[in-house]
Amino acid sequence: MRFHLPQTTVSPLKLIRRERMLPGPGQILVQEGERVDPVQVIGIAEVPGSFHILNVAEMLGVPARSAQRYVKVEPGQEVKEGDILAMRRMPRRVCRSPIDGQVTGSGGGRLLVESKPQRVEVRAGYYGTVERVHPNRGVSIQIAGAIIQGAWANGQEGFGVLRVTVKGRDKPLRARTVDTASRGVILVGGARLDEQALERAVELQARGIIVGGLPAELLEAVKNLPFPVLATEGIGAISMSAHIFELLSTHDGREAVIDGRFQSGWTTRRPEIIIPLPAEPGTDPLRLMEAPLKVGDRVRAIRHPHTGMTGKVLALPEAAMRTVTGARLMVAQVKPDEGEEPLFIPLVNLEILR
Amino acid sequence: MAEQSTASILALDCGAVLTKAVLLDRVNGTYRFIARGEALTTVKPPWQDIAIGAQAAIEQVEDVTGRTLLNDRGNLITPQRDGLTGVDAFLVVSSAAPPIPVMVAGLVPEMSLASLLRAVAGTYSTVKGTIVHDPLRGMSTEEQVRRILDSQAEVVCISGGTDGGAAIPTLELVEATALACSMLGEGERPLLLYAGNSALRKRVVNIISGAAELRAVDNVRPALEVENYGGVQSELDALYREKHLNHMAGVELLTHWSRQPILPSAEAFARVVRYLWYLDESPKGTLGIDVGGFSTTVAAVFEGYLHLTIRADLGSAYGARALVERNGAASIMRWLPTPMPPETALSVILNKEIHPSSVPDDPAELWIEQAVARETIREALKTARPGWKPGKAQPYGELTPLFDPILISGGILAGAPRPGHVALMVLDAVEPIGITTLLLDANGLAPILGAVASFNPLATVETLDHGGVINLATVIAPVGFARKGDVVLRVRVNYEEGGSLDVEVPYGSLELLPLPPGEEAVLELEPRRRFDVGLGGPGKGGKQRVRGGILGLIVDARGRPLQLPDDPEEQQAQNQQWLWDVGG
Repeated sequence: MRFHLPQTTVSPLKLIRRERMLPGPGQILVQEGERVDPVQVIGIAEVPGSFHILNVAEMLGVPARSAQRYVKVEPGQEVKEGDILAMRRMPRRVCRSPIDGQVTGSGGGRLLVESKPQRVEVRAGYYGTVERVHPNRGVSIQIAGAIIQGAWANGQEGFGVLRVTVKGRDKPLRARTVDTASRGVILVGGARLDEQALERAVELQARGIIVGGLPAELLEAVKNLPFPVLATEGIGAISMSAHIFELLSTHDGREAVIDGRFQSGWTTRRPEIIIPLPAEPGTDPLRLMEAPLKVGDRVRAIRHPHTGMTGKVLALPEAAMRTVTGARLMVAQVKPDEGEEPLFIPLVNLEILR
Repeated sequence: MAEQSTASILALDCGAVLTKAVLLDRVNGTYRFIARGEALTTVKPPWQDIAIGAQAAIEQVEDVTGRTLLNDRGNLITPQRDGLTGVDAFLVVSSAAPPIPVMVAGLVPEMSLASLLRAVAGTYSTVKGTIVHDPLRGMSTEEQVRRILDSQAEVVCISGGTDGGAAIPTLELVEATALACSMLGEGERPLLLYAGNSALRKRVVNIISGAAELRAVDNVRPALEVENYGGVQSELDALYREKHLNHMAGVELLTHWSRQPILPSAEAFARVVRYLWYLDESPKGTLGIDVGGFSTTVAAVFEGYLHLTIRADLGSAYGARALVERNGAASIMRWLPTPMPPETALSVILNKEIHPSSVPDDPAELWIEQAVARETIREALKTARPGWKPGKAQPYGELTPLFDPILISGGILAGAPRPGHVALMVLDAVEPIGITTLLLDANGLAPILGAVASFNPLATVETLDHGGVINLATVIAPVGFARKGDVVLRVRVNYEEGGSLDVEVPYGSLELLPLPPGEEAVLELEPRRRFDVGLGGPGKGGKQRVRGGILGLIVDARGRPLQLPDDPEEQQAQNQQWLWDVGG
């Protein structure tokens, strides 16, 4: 039988391609082949500004159908704040523009005034090379580096130097370990973090936090932070996978980029950590594999009581087994990386690590 | 495609999380359910091809039956060549495509807007926001435009005015919508579905004047006392099929095999619920509940008329977080039989949303998921009930109408480790009254059989008759108030096979009485004065022939509406007791 399972990418070195798109048509400021760094502006675009709908008829005290007679501006005309847009002489009533902008529509006794479009700069977000320019829309950047997909993040993006603050993947990130050396770095914890550690991180203007599991009670606080917070395993007090902790520890002191944009539900998007590294000859491009699970695959458990455990598939029994809840499910026999006895874990509670 | 003479039928139900493949075939001249396979739905990355999961599910059917259904290149073999190769017919139902984001606008919240919301609730849509253009609860044009722009809705539905009624406010609403559309780029403009005062259609066309694509349908509230959901629902259904279901990655291969469009799962499920009502055209209603990973369907039939409700934002895997945010964690925690910190419960809910295909491997997490299922069903029923017209099936306005049977479908229910778990989830969530049969769609056949009915009704009927859905239990739920422990009902079970059983049921209890599947019995019910078992009113008893089920008979004398203790520890003890009572 074939079993397709969800996958998580945790890889020490790959060639990764990421797109940086403008929020609307605009101008691209870099060229193909150009090296970029995270803060470099790769393009600018204009997005619509605010707008006001002015009920001219009501303001002048005239019927909607005759309001147009009193309007002094044309659609497309630029106006300044306070400019008269419509006027009635007897009795004297005026309608003034509330903003600097442009009249973009009129009808039904109303005027639409839009402020000038806002200029938005889009930064590269990564250390890499511009692989392709999509004219007026964005760029594709090729990055050589390690990549770790996370489970949850707070939607923020950022970059900084990794600082592993704990001695083991099961150790929580505590306030006392967030010292002055943590200023402006990405803090890496093990199992979880507490509220005091979070407060310290904010005080010291950390650039990001990476932990295994994020306590549910901190979710709201974390959502409002200006820097990315990423949980590699999920929500709760969960130890970081050994595989991920080792990879992050190996690169302690190196710069990393966190893309904390996350979506679940109908549309999904997984957060990720990319640690830029020099490309070696023959480095493979990152490809999402669609192959089904097979004996020998590396897997990670995604459900209690084994969440975060990584290991190798020893066998895929053909018959379903009864689990502790009483449900009969197809399982895999998995040899955990950390020397424990082989475990039977429901297939649906595993992810393939690639 | 296939005609009535079709023999073997392979059907797929591609859900948002899992894809099920089901084989039906004739055995000794009648249709039977033969086998099923299940695989992850592969419409999202890294696969982005729904056919991969479909093929994996079909391969499982091959493994179970020894039949060859796919050729070497992974294509379906059709028609059937011999007893062990290929199938005659193939069809697909699906709920895997994201729902349509819809903005709903109307004049009076209790009138046209309420009707429009009920109409939209019967489709695969999610309401991104509402606009009320009511002078008493004024919302400025600017606010209306802003809401439309912010919603990123694919469709703006506008109601307002009975036919020949309110004109100016309805047209103002259309103007605001036109204005919002004019501020969006060509490809970003929503479709406008006008379901208001039909006398204004020409003027609506003039106002929109190319600012967006406009479709005018029957007024959703043509008169004060009349509602008409048909126009809105058929347009949104068509849109969901055209733009969502038929645009799923990899769907071409499946439609090539079936040679007909994919049917939305909810519509197919509702057909079976309707069929169940027509089996005996009972004055009671028939209820179907299908809890999927990402959406929940409620189909209620009264006097042959179907009321379909789809909560495309609420399922067993996705939507519980929003439920907790709206109703508080206590709404979930109150159903737990064991203590658990609220933050742990929230972690389980959030992790399920991150990993929707995962299942509990620990009893405490199982209780959380089952608690979520209860609240999901309760919430979906809350959406559905205002649109029902139960007539005589509703003896008590504030309680659930009389239903028989209640069909239960969806992985969280059908996949529950013990039958008692399913029964208790449904009793807690639906709170049925009177006498009802709980039917369990253990193999996820209901949506598939609904789709099969369109070209081979015999296959649907025969498969249902031969164990397609199983009798979980017959429930007797008296309505009335008494002191806990007071006897409120005397039951005599006269077994058809011989013998009888007499039971006195105290108020507050949940009793399980034996009546195995396939056996029948005549119940003699003698309720206490003022207690109603659905045999003609309070205090009225009588005889009722019932069929056995996996759990036999359940007498649910816990009272209606169901009251849970306020104290969390007492709640847990109570839930644990009820679990034991039903063999969970």
